[in-house]
Amino acid sequence: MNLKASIGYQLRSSGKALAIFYGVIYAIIAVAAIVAVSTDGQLGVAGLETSTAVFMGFLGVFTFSEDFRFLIQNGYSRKSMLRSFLCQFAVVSLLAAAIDVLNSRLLLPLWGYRSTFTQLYGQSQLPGLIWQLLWGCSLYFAIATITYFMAALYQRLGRLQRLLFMLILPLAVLVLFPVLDFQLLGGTATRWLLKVLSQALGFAEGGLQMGLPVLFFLAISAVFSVFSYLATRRASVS
Amino acid sequence: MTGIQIQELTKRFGDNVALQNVSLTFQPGKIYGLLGRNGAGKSTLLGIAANRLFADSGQVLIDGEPACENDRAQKKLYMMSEKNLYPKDMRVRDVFRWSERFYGSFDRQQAQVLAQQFGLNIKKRVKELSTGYTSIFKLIVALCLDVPYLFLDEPVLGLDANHREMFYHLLLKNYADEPRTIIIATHLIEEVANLIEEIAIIDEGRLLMSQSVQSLLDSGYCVSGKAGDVDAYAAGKKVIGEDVLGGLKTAYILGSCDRQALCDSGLELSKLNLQKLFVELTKKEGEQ
Repeated sequence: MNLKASIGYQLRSSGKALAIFYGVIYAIIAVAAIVAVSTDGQLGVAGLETSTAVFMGFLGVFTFSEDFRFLIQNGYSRKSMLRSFLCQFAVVSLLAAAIDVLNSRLLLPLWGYRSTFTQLYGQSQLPGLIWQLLWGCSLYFAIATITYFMAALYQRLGRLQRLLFMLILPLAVLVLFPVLDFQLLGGTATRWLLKVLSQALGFAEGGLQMGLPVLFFLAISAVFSVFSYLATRRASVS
Repeated sequence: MTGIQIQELTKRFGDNVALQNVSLTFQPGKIYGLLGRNGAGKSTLLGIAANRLFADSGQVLIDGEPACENDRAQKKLYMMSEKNLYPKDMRVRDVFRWSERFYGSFDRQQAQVLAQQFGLNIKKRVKELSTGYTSIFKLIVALCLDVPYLFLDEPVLGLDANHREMFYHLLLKNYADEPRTIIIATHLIEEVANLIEEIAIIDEGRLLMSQSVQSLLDSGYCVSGKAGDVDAYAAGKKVIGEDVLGGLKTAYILGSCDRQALCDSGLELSKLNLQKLFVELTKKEGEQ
């Protein structure tokens, strides 16, 4: 089957969504800037990368719910679909990360905007820009693969399983685990996890290692891509 | 091309056995009627062949290649079904455009001509179409795609009589220009009786029969006349069904016709009606 055509279709539809997303973001910033200037007030801009991360999350979900059915109608196998979805996620992640890097460079002198990356790792010159791009790209890619997997799994589950997946599992991980850990282990497990996460985000003992978070996010993407394949390889269209 | 081979296909949905050990061949270049009652397994069979569902056992081969998860095999077929798998916000003209990009063998010009003939506004979004026009745009895609195998599952759902006639005419013309395998799953047996060459009947997940329409209709006949005369003629013959209206009766009989006895009794002889045959073959106990 024509993989170029399926990738082309998905890039076209997600490109439109991306354009609308950034259009809205810039419109909000523009309106806020006008208000700030006309009232002699201060404009603060924050959370752009977080918004992009949320957008990528929605992209993963909607890719499964809409594109999966359309591509099945047009004779694509689930394997081919996953390949083209991952290509789409990669391209959109790169584009979104590039825009976010540009935003952080343009908005910083204007309004002192500090991106999430800058807040985590500090401001730096060209090598830092490249790491910022790779960091953003790999993070967004990971988010898209995670939410794609979640959407695919959700479709395969029965009602009780969905309840477990959507409610009980998050509660167990985010509430029960830390509570039990602090009660029984004095918080050892949580501290260990935070240490591992901190190192995975590049805060190694020897100093900042920018390759680590990129590898970490790519590893997450790889794992969830495999999970996505397993979740969709026998998915029926009903 | 070797056609589509269905080999010992079984599919269950929970406790319900939708298909049970079904084996069937759809030969290249023929028009098939895939008939069955509601829930018989027709859509399940086509869905498995079109890679929308997975069989529990058995396989489907398209030109000798497994159909399951095979892009090359799936590129050879198009399935039009009641389920809408097209994005609701997509315009019809974009459906045509993407069908051309995906399959590489879609006649967009012809699609626009057909859309005009059917009165379909191609600027409309899929979600804005009525049930009938949703069927129509999918039928247009089916007719304009150059694929060797077409699955049409309830193709005329929601179509008015005029559009149905138009569709059948276009289908036959399309087939005459370039014969291909067309499988029509439908409840409107009488409407497709003049289109189909071969028939496969599925009943409760099993293949009841698969043969040419001509041989099926030649396998029996109808006799009509006074009830008593019909009963006398039909005694000892394989009667698969009867219609009674007042003192008149029609009997549907399988086997060869005893012309002499028929002449003597003054009964009227006619061909078997496909729909009637289907109804009698798939009638359940207690049904009238």
